[in-house]
This record gives sequence, C-alpha cells and structure tokens, in this order.
Amino acid sequence: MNPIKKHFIKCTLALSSLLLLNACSKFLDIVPDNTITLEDYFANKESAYNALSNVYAGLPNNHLINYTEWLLGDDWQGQRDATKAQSGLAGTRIMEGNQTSNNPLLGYWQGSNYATDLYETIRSANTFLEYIDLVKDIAEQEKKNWIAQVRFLKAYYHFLLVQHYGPIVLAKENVSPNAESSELFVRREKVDVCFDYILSEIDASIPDLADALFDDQLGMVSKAAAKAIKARVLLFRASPFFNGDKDLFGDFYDEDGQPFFPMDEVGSAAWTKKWEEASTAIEEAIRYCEGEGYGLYEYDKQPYKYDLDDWNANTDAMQRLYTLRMLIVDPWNKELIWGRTYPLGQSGTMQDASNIRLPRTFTNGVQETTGNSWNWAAATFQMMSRYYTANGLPIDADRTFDKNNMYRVVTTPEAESEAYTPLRGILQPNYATVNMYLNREPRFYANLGITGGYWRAHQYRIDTEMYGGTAGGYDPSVSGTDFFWTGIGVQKFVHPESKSGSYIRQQHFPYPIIRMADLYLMKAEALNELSGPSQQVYDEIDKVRLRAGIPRVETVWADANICAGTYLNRHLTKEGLRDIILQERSIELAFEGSRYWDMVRYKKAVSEFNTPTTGWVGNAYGQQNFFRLEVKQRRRFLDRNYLWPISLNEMNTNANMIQNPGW
Amino acid sequence: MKHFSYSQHKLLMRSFFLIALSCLFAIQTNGKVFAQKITLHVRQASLASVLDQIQQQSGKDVFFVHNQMKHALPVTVTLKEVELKSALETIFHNQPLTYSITSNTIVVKDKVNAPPPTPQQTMVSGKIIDGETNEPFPGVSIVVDKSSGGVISNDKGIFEIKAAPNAVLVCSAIGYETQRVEVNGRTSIEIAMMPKKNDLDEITVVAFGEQKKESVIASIETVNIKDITIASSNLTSAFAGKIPGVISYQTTGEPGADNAKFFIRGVTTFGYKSDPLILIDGFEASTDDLARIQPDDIESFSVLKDASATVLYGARGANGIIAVNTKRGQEGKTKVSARIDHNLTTPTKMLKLLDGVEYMRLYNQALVSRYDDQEHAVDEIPTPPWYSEEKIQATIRGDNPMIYPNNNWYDMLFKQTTSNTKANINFSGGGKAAQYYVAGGFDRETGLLKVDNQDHLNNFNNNININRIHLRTNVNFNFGPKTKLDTRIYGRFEKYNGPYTGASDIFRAVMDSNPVDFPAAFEPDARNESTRWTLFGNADPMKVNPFAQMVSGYRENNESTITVQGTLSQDLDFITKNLKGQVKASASTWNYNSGARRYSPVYYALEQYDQISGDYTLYNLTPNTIPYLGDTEAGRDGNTHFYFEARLNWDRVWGKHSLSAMTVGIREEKILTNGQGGTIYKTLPERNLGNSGRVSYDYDRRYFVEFAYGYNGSEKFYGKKRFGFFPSYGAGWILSNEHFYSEKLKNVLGLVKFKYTYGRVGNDAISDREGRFFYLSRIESGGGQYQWGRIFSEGYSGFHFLRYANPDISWEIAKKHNLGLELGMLKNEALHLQVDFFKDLRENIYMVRQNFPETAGFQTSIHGNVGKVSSHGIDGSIDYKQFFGNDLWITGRANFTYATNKYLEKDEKNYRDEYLKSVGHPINQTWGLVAERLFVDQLEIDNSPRQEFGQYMRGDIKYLDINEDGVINDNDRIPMGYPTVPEIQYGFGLSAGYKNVDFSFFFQGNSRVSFYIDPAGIAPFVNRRNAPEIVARDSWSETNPDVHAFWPRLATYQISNNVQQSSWWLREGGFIRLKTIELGYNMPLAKRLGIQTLRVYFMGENIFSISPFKLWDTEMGGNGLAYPLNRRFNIGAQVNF
Repeated sequence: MNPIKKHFIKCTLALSSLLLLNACSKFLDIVPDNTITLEDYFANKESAYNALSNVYAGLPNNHLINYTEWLLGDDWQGQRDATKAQSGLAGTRIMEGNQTSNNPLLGYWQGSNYATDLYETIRSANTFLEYIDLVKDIAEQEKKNWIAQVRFLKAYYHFLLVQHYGPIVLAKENVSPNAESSELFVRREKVDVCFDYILSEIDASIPDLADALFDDQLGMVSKAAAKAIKARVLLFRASPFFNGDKDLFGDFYDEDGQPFFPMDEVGSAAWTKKWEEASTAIEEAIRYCEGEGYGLYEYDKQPYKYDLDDWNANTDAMQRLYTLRMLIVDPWNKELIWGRTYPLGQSGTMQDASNIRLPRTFTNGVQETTGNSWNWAAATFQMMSRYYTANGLPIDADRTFDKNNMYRVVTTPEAESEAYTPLRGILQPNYATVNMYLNREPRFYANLGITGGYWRAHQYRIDTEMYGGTAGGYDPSVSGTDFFWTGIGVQKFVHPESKSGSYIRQQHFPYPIIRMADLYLMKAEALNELSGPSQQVYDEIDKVRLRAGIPRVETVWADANICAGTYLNRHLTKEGLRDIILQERSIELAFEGSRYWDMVRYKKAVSEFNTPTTGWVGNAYGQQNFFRLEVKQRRRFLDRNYLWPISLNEMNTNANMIQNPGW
Repeated sequence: MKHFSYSQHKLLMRSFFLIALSCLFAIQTNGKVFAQKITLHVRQASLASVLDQIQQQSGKDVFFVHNQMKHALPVTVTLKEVELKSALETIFHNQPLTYSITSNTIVVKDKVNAPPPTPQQTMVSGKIIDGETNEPFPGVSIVVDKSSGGVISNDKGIFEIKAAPNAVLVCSAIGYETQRVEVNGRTSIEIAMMPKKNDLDEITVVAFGEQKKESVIASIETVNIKDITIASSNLTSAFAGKIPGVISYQTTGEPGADNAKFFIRGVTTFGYKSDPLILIDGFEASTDDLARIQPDDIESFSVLKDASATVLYGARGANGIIAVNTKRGQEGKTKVSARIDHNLTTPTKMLKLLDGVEYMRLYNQALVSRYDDQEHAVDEIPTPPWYSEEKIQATIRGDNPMIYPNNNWYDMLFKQTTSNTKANINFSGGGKAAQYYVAGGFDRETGLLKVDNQDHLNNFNNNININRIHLRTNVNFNFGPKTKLDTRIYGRFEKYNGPYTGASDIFRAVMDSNPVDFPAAFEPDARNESTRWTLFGNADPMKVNPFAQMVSGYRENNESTITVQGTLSQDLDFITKNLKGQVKASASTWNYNSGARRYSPVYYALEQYDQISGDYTLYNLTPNTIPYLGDTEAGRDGNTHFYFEARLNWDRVWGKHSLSAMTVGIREEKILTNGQGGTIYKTLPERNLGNSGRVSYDYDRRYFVEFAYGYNGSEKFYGKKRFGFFPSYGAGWILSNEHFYSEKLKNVLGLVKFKYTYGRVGNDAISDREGRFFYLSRIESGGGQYQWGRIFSEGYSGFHFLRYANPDISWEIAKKHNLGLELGMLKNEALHLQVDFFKDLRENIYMVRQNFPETAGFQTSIHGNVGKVSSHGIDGSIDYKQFFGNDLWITGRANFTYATNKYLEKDEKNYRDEYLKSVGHPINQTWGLVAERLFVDQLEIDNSPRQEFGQYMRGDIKYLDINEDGVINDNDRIPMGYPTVPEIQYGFGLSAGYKNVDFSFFFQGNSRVSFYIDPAGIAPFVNRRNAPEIVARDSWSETNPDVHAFWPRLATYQISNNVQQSSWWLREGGFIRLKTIELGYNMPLAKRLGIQTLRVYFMGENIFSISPFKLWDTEMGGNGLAYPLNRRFNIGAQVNF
C-alpha cells in the first residue's frame, strides 16, 4: 500500500469516527447511579423513621400562633388590626369574615395559608403502607405498631377533613400521575360513608398500637390516643351539625340527588344509635385510660422560690393555682393523652406570642428583646367574662357577684390584712384594679394575666399592671404594635421557667390534642344527650369542677342563695345542662380551640361569633384611660362558614367537585 | 439503541447519496434529440452552458471535467443551422481547450499539446489608480495572464510590462477587486482598482458555511453592521426595530445589567427557553458575549430564522439563531483602524414623586381616609394628623432641614447625567503564510449614582463604574495551498464597581422612602460631635433610607471570559475533487468573582429640638452597632465550555447543475461551577452529540432545492428519547433568471425570487439545569419533619418528592414553515424588498401539568411534553440605495415584524368557563379582573357581588362579576389587552451623504403590546413611603368622589382589593421613538496627515418618544421603577490608516 493511500485511509477513519458520533460512547450518560430513590428511605428502620415522620407532619400546627386553629372562636385576640398585617393569624382572619374560596385560609384540603396539606400527608401514609414491607431490620411487632400508627393517622386526617369540609374525597389508596381521569377526578363521599371509613380504620389500628410509650416514643399514637380520638370522632358524628340541618343544607346534595349530610331526626333510632355508640366509645376510652394511669392533673411538686411564702400562708389556694397554672405546660403529665410536639427552638409558638416581655426593672434596665416573648396574644373580654365566679357560676347567674359595678376600680386588701390571706399569690395587695377581676374562679387567675395579678415567667413572678409603660403593658420604645390589645394576657401556655431575649431558655411542652378533662366532659355531654340529666352526668362534670376548685354543679345551680332566678336549677333540664356542659368546656378547654367546634357542633356559631370582640384600651396609660371597654375587632360568621370552602383551584380542576354551600 | 442509531445513520447517509446520484443520472440521460445542425444565439454565455445546448441539439453526449471550465472564456456567437463540426470550431476558437468528436460523444480536452501561438510581445506601460479617490495606487501586482512574470506599480502607480497585444493583465491588491484588463493592442493603459465590494452583499453566512446569496433559500437576515453600531456599549440594545424578524425591548438601563430581551419571530414557546441560540464564530455564546462584542470586529451578523437555516443546530435551533462571525486578516500591508466614542447619558424619563409638603398634607388625609367608626366605637379619640400643621409650615418656610427635611431623594441620590467612553483599535494584514486581525477595545461605563454629594460621609465609590477590555486575535496560517489553520483567541475582562445592592434597587428604594420624616443624615448634635461615623436619619419603626442603603457598602465584580478556537481545513481533492475537510475545536471559560462589603448604618432619630436656640439632640435607633465594613461577602462562579466539530464539504458544478453537500459531527460539553456549590443535577455537565448535514442543488440558477437534517443527542433524555432526528426541506425559484424574463422587465424588477422551506427543529433546553434528567424521580430529605420523645429529641426530617419520574419526556419540537419573496426593483435593484411569511408549530412543550386535583395528594407538580403553540407572522424589509452622481447618496431602510402566537394545547384546568382557558390565546396574554369603576357608596357595596380580595369600602375598585356567580374571585379574570411582548415591531430610517457629510436617523416603534402598572409597587403611603405625583392630582376622596380617578381611596397600608391585576392598571405599551440620529463628517485634511480616512460624528440615542403612557418610559413596561432607560449624546471619531 502506498503511503498516500495509507494516509488517506487514516484520515477518513478519523474523520468518520468523529462524524458518525461514535455512538457507542457513554458521552451522554452522565447521571451518577447513587441518586436517592424512594426505596432508600425504606432500606432500614432508621431511615424509615423519616417516612413515619412524614405522616405525623400532617398534624395541624396548632402550637404556632399564625397557624393555629385555636384562634377560631372568640377566646383569643391578636394585634392584627393594629399592625394592618395582611398575613398571619389565619384563625382570626377567618373569624373576621375574610375566608374566601379564592385563597382559603387554613385550607387543609390543599395546604393553603398556614394549614398542613392533609391530602398530601395521606398520600405519604399510603406510600408508607405500600413500602414498609421493604424494611427488614425491624421486628414484626414493631412493624405492625408502625403500620397501626400510620393507619390511625390516615383515619385521623380524614376526620379533620370531615370536621372542616363535611363530605370529602376518601383517599384510600394512592393514584398514579398516569391514572385515568376517572380515578383522579373523584366525587365527594357522603358524610356517613366518611365516618364509617374513618371508624373502621381506627378500629383496625387499635389492636397493634402500644399500651404504653417509652420515653423516646412520647408523642406517638398509643392505644389511649386512638381510643380517645375515636370517642371524639363519634361525638362529632352524633352532634347536631353532622346530623344535618334542612335550613343549612337543604340544597346540599350530591349529583345523585341524595343529601351529603344524614338527615336523622332527633330521637330517631339512627340518632339514638349514634349517641349510644359515642357514649360507649367515650366510656371505653375513659376506662382504658384510667387503667393505664391517665387522670386529671394535680401539681405535686414544690412551688417556685418566689411563691414560697404565699404558698405556706395560703396553701390550698396556691396548690390549686399551681395545678391549674401548670396543667398544660408541665410536659407529658398524666392528663395528656396525645400532644403535638414541635422542633426544638421553633419560634412563633403560642408560648412565644402570649408571654410578656420581662420589664426593665427585672433586667437592670437592659431592654428586653422581643425574641421569645412577643407580649401580644391576648384574651378577649368575652373570654375573660366567661370564666365563672368563685362560686362556680356564670357571672350573670351569681347573685353574690356585683354585676352593676363590674367596671368600677377597687383596691385589693392590704398585704397585712386578714382579708388578703386567701388572695396571697393570686392578686397583688392594696392594688387598684377593676371590680370584675375579684371573686373569680381559680382557673381565671391561673390562665389569665390581669392588672393586679401575677405573671409567672422568666423565672420571676411579675406584678402585672398591663397599663402603658408598666409590666405587661404597651411600650412603644420596644414595639408600637406588640401589646395586649385587650389588656388581658393569657398565661396558660407560658411555662414559668421560659426565658426570653438575651437570657433565652424556652421550656418545651406538647400542646394538647386531647386530654382527660375533655373525655370526662364528652361523657357528660353524650349521656345528657342520650338520656338527660342524671347524677352520672353531674359526676363527670364535677370531676373537672372539683379539680378547678369550684363547687359541684348540682350544688350551686340548686342553691337559691347563690344562683339567680332564671339560672336556678337549670341543670335539671337537658337543654340547661347542655349549656352548662358547653360553658364548662369553654372554660376548662379555654384557648385550646374547643369552643369553636362546640359551637359548630351545636349550630350556635353564627349566633355566638357575630359580635365584635371587645377589650380594655390596651395601649392606654393609667387606669383611668385603660379601663374603658372598646370594640376591638369586627367579627363576621355566616352560615357558609360552618363548612369551609373548597378552593377555587380545586373546583376548577375537578369537574366532579361540588362546592360547599354559600361559597 | 446505540447500534440502532449507528445503522440508522449509515442508512441515512447512503440514501442521500443514492438519491443524489439518481438525480444526476436522470439529468444525464434526458434530451435525446437528433439534430445534426446547430443553432445558437448566446451572449457571454458560459462554455458549459453552450456545450449543454450542443448536447441537446446534437444528441451526442458531451464529456468534460468541471475544472476545465474554470479557464473557459465566455462565448458570444450567433449560429444558424450550422454543421456540428464548424459550430464547435467557432465555439472553441480562442478557448484554452480543444475537443474530439466520435460517433456518439464529444470529449473536451485541455489544449496542452497544442503549442500556443506566440504573438509578438510589446512593452505596455500603465497607471494604476484607486477607483474611488482617483489617487495613484502603488504596490499593485500586475501579471500577464497565464505567464509567470509580473511587476509592481511604483509610488506613482506607474508600471511597465511586456505583453502580447491580445494578452490579459491581471492586477491585484489586497482588499480590492482583481482587475482583468485586455491589452487589445494598446501600449498605454489606465487601470482603476475598485475596493472589494462588501462580501456581505454577495455571500450569506449559513449554518456551517457560506452560500452565495442568490442560492440561499433559507430565511436568513444579514444585518448591516452599520445599522447596529450605536453609542451604547451594549449591542443588544441596538436590535429593536433594526432587524426584521427580531422583536426586542429593554426594561432597564442599568449599566452592566441592561441587556435587551430579544426573540426571533416573537416568543414561539412557553417552555423554558424562548430566546435564540447565539453563535460567535460558530461557537455557542452567552447573551453577555453578544452584548459586549465590538461592532468593528464583526465581519458578518446573521439572523437564522427558519427550519432550513437552523435545523443543523438541531439541539438548540428551535428559537432561531443569531450567528456572528468576527473579522479575519487579509493579506497585505498592515491596516489600522481606530474609533473612540464619548457619550453623555441621561434618563429618558423618571417617575415624579410628591414633594414633602404635598406629601404631608396628603398623608394626613390618607390616614383618616379609612377611619371606620364601627371598629373603634367606644370612647374613640379622633386620630390627630400625623404631620402637624406646624411641621408643614416649617417645611414650607425651609426651616432647619435637619428638623424639617424635605428630601427629593432622586435629586439627592442621582445625577442628571453621566458619561461613558469606549474606544477600540484593530490591526490587520499579513503575508502569504499568515494573516492576522488583532483588535483591542476598552469601555468605561458609569451609572447615575451620586458619589460625592456629602464628601465626608462617603469615602468609597458606590457609583456603577465598569471598566472593560477586550482583546481579539484572529490569525490564519496557510500550511501550503491545501491546508489552512484558523486560530482565534478572544479575551474579555471586566471590572465592575457599584453599590452593594443593585442600582435598580436603589431607584426602587426612592419610591419606598419617606420625604419628610428624617434627613438623609444628621449634622452631629452636641452629643455626637466626636462621633466618627455618619449619623444616618431614620424613624421608629425603621423606614427605608435610600441614601444609607446606597452608601453603606459597595460591590466589586471581576469577570473574565476567554475563548480559543482552532480550525484546521484540508482540501481533500485526492479523494474526490472539491472535497474539503475541516476540524474545529473551541473552548471557553467564564470566570466571575465578586466581593461585596457593607457596614450596618447607624441610624439616629430626633429626640428633642429647641425651637428657639435651634439645638437638637439625637438618639441612636441602632445601639450596639458600630459601622465598620464587614467581612467580604465573596461570590464566585464560572463555567467551561468545549466544542468539537468535524465536517466535510463537497460541491460540484456540472453544466447547469450545481450540487453541494455537507456533513458535520459535533460534540459539545458545558460545565457549570455553581458558585459555592449547588445540587448535583445543576453541576453535572450538559452535553450534546450530533450529526448534521445538508444537500443543496440548483439548476441553472433558477430552481433550487435543499435538504438538511440534524440528528442530535442530549444528556437530558433517556433511552429511545435521547436522540432526535430533525429534517428540513426547501425549494426556491428565481423567476427573474428564467429565459422568458425579458431584459426590459429586468430593468424594473431585476430580481424576483420565491422560496419555501419546511422542517422540524428540536430544542433540548426545556428546563433549567436543575430540572434535567426527567426520567429520574427526585427525592430530598426534609419537608415532612416530626419529632418524638420526652424532650422532643427524636427528630426526623422526613422526605419529599421534588419530581416524579417520567421516562417519556423528550425534545420540544418546532415545525417551521417559511415562505419568502424577494424583489429587486428599479435600476440596479436600488429598491430591495424582502418579505417572509412564517408559521411555526411548537409541539411537545414541556410544562407543568395543571390538571391534577389536590385530593390526589401529589407533593410536587407533574410535568409533561404536552404543550402546543402555533405562531405565525410576517417580517420584511425594504432597502433603498441611490447614488446621485459622485457626491450625493441616499439610503433608506424600513422593516417590520409581526409575530403572533396562540396556545393550541395546554394541560390546564377543567375550567367551567371558556374565557379562563389559555388555549386560543397568545402565550404572553394576561388575564385580569374587569374594573368597572370605584364604588359609589356602601349601599352599592351591599348590593354588589362579594369581592374576595380583602376588605373594601366606597372609593375602592368595583369589579365585574363575569360569570355571574355572585362572587368575584380569580374565576372572573378575563383575557385583556395585548400580550406583554410586542406583536409588532418596526423601524425606519434614512441615511444620506453629500460629499464629506453624512446624516442619518432611525425611528423605532412597538405596537400591540400591553403591560400593567404594578399598583402594589407604587401604592402611596404604605409604611409612610412616598407617592407618585399623579396621586395628588387624581385620587378618590370624600371631597373628590371621582369614580374614575387614577388612584382609589387612599390608605396608609396596602389595600389588597385595589392591587389586583385588573383593567384598572392595564396600559397600552405601544410607542414610537427616535432611536438614533447621526451626523458625520469625513475630514478632508486627513490625507495630508498620512491618514486614510478620519470621520467625526455626533450620534444621539433615544432622543424622544411618543406614547400615550406618561409616567415613565413606556418601553420599561411594568418595570418602571427600576434604573431608567438612557438617552445618549455621543461624539466619536473613527480613523483608518
């Protein structure tokens, strides 16, 4: 071969190999093999915890002030209007009538505006159930327990959806992105069908759940939690609202022409059966929980140093106060059946928003930062008034309570006087405050922060005044908008040892999802609905009242010397007792989001939540200016608010979706 | 798969050649007519075409080698019924060729054996002049054709040479057309050398090569560099209205960040990438690279618009291509060209804000405007005015500005004008072995920020100051006649100094700041006499102090780009005639590093003021802050880009047939360093592999066909989806070259050309780098966090999906049709018209599928290749060139682009109302609420549908319930206005010259475009910020209950109801502006100084505009509060020697 030819062939080969891509090369394969896959999360138990946490993460963020549902109702008053904020405080915005289908507030259906995304979480639950068998290094029993937890949570999330939306789409299994549109665009199920599904899933989960949780499992779903929640689900199912109402839902029908809500008449067999099932489940939950050591909380430790003298001088009252003051914040106490945990150091909790800033007098003049004590999540005047008198009666019902001079400023007894002894540790001596702050039940002083009272936080006992420039009051040099707008603080979620700002040390406690007092009152309610007043009903209510340091219900309501005319013996009628139970709930479970749902269940929300909130002039200086009642915030709650709006987005997506009435 | 692709490819190549060959045979075997007498009537016809006619008439096959025809002389004969033999004799007379006839064939041979007649040689003398200037032309080489000897003209342009009376003299000089002059028995000759005509007129740069303009049937716009030579240092800002088929606009004039947006034939996809591919010397470059290129370095600038032009870049060509080639050296004496420009820059228009006094009055009004007696019923004390009358009066009087400031922040922060300079110089020349083009340039751009308004307060330079140098070295080596190496090295280095935050942010901060609450900085009070830092003013709670924001830090960026390219070309004649091979390698790196330094300003507010003594005390709003420059916040980023290409070109002319073929293999890799890190997906390289080719054929310069293809692979796809095949087909017809087209007609309509192309072009850039590898699901830790345990310590982060895997994701495909018409009209085709009609069907657009219900619970959106858009439009230009004698010339140019599009398919929601669906509407169509007017009273509110955008009262915007469902929400938005990208862009201008003076102007306009004022961005008084002046003139109030006022009821906070996107804020975005105006003068004195030409000129840019919108420059659209667009006044000089 001559050299030119050789050259030519070489040349051609070289060129053509470039031209023809040399397609065998791996030039275009560049993705490394070890990218994460779903299977990796189920490779072993340790990483599968992530999948489990995914399912728990759908629990509503009720511990966070901007996210919490506990602002629904009329217990709380934030400073939203003072700041003209367009965001945050989703619960308050709903009560103001600002809910829209355009962009739903606390939209659990799609995770909009401070809500967790429940359908997304249910998908995670289904994924968990599909993949959990891949985990090999887990004991069979523990795996069953995990599955039971996930099944329970899946049912619980469906319940939360029913609670908010009524009829919902059941997401029993996951649909694939490539699924047929008939699988994707499904219809809402009737309320009863939803309840049946939820209950069957809870029942299926209970056998494999743990009786007792180890320290490192606290917060997980136990048998007690599942039974208690089952009781709540059945109570909701039996409640009037979820049994339908021709006025509210007269035209709320599925495409098949059947009503979404059951229309069971009061007293009908179906109605009775629901209350029976509810009371049975509540009874079962209480029996089981008591058997496992759950019960009403009592403080059994020593008082803080600053209270020692008062404790010794006024032991009973102080012990009661401590019990009620520490009830929520003493972590994992025996009353808590299930609670919501949160990441350590998470900011914006109810505790952060409601704690007062440490006054300069306690910090050698150093200005306390707003870090973990925002000094503004306040109680409404309505909530403050709702607390009973010392006799355990509503203000209006108590003959001994001076209603005509409620707003008069009076002075508490001198420190040395005999009369002050029962007030030691509860009210400041020789202090001018408003008359209606006196002679109230222990929960009033334990839960609220008032002018003339004490605030236990920052490891101090702070003498609160709440006037501008005083402890707990308005201080524009720190913030022009952070102050208790009503002049009434809430201590219920503030741990006395929580410190803020430069001395930051937050005490963490789980925020209750369900606790024993709730179960007892649920039992009272169910029994009363089923068969009217009875000693059994009173006993359940009294468990809570005695712990709160007030007389038995059947005693005070029957006592003509104390109880005013129209209120006398109300406990003897079913309706009267129902009101008593509901008020007891709204006080015992105050600020915990219970009252809103109670009013919904009994279809009283429109009549209760349409009045503006009121309060003292929170940013006023001095008692003269401070103790004037003013309107704080307009509230608007219409029939359509009973059921939450399906988002416009979802309506636009799913042609089979029927919107809730009025949206 | 791989083997499949290999064989598929081979098959493809084979079929090409088969098709091509069969075409050839078909041509060869036709025309068997047996006439022995020949009739011919030709003038200056090519020998090949004459032989072709002979073949047809005689029936004999004529064989010749293409190369022979190179030397053939044109034939002019008139023969009637002549014997074949004598006809051939006549034709071959004087030809350097001879022939032999057999029974069936005529074979043409070189006349090598026949000794040429050697006529008597005589001495010829002559003079060479420059045809343009009539000056003597030294240094021209003069050779007698087909002989070896030659001479050079002397410094007076005189030469003497021995030549036969019938000889031809060939005169050549670099940069000039080679002249062939017949001696024709003369002994004294004057020869004029004409400068080489701009190649651009004749040659069009196409993908992977050049074509004669005439034979191009693809839609390619060749841009005259002069048209885009502007005062600004940003080339992209010159595009608007200058290039038919390109739609371009600019939304900010911030130096260094002022790239215009540009789209070829509008936006044709709603996918990830809708802007064109940019190629500089055949190598993909960034928009910045294009923006910074020096016009003087550009040899050619082409815009490739249709499938035929772009399909060869199959992976990227779908959005069109801008291809720029830089100059290369020319053999000859060194030529130097230099240019210097200096311009003054001033904003075209600024938003006017309220002055302090008016601000305070109106703020007081706004504060009580929404006083709602329902909310503060008990014992409400009326809100006192925020600004007391005493303060207002003192401000009017101009009392102590520390206490009663009246800040015009625009004036305090910004200069009226700034100046910029740019300069460049280039050298070119070289010998036979190597030629060079070396260019260097320098830009200095500055911003409008004031640096030294308060000297002692500001000791570093916050103003934008960009210094940029460029260096370009293009050197060609000839390693013999068949081997060439072209090397190109380009480097650009840029040093940016500017404010800590973007300059546009400072402009926006002015809108956000308050004119009267505090001065920019306080003069020290007694307590602060020894304070060493600036006492910036502020209020409690903190407000925006734009001065502090501007001066409290600065940023330095350094950026460099280096590109090297080498192209080795080899004639492969030894394989087959006219085969050329070429390999090319390119690499570039871009490197960016920045350092930002900032201190925390210490803010002070007024504590006490003594009216009588004028003394005041301040208090520190930010105690515990010491303003020292913090550690440098470093930023760095970079990328590297490699490109290899090997290609073969081949062409052949055979009688009237010309055929050319090209095939190229490419391999490309882009690697990004994403600053300090980035996800693996972002930092994995982007790669492409491909083979492309083109076959074009024309017959007799009348009929043209072309086939091209790209076969491309991308790392983004998987399996069978990885490679895409993209073919294109084209045909053209030059009517004016037809035989029946009369000469008379040619004088009026010299050129009539039709062309049509169709093809499919791919696009693999369908998502950002992060979003690639669609076939993999992406899961990440986090999202579903929970914790258990007594102290909540058993925490797990959970996981969440970022993407669900979809192995079917593949190329976005554009199906492009183009129908073009070119007309050359008037004498010498002085008026040239070109029009293209196009239709583009974009399929497989990768998009977020929107129709999944929430109840399915997907953690992330689902994507798919499910979008489809059709676009169509027209672009065209008219050019007019006329010379009136030697002194006066005039050229005019107008061009026009109309491009519109609409969604054909889109995975969108199941809207019950048709008007909510995008399908049928343009991509950049906006939807908005229909604002009827402002509410008259509460009664009207109570009786109107509920509006779901927060609270509202009378004087707020009332919307129309489009679907009449009793509630106004997002479902009441209807398509309104024009798209946000103009559908029509046009420009027109005129240039004229008389003797040494030239003048030109150019208008540019946009039409069929809309935008929204951002009402939340200009909402007055929110956080006590300032208000646009128009609010004072035209807003609703109790006393002025105008339900059509510009601004609704005032407030001191954001009223969500009023800032919805609605017809209330929709504006027409059309305008027409005097884009450039230029006056130039060629200095006649220059020659004496040894300078060839010296031109000085004045140039103005963005001189004025006409638009119905008055608040800011309409071109900025919704971005009106950013750094304004610039008006420039430029003086410059260009010198050549």
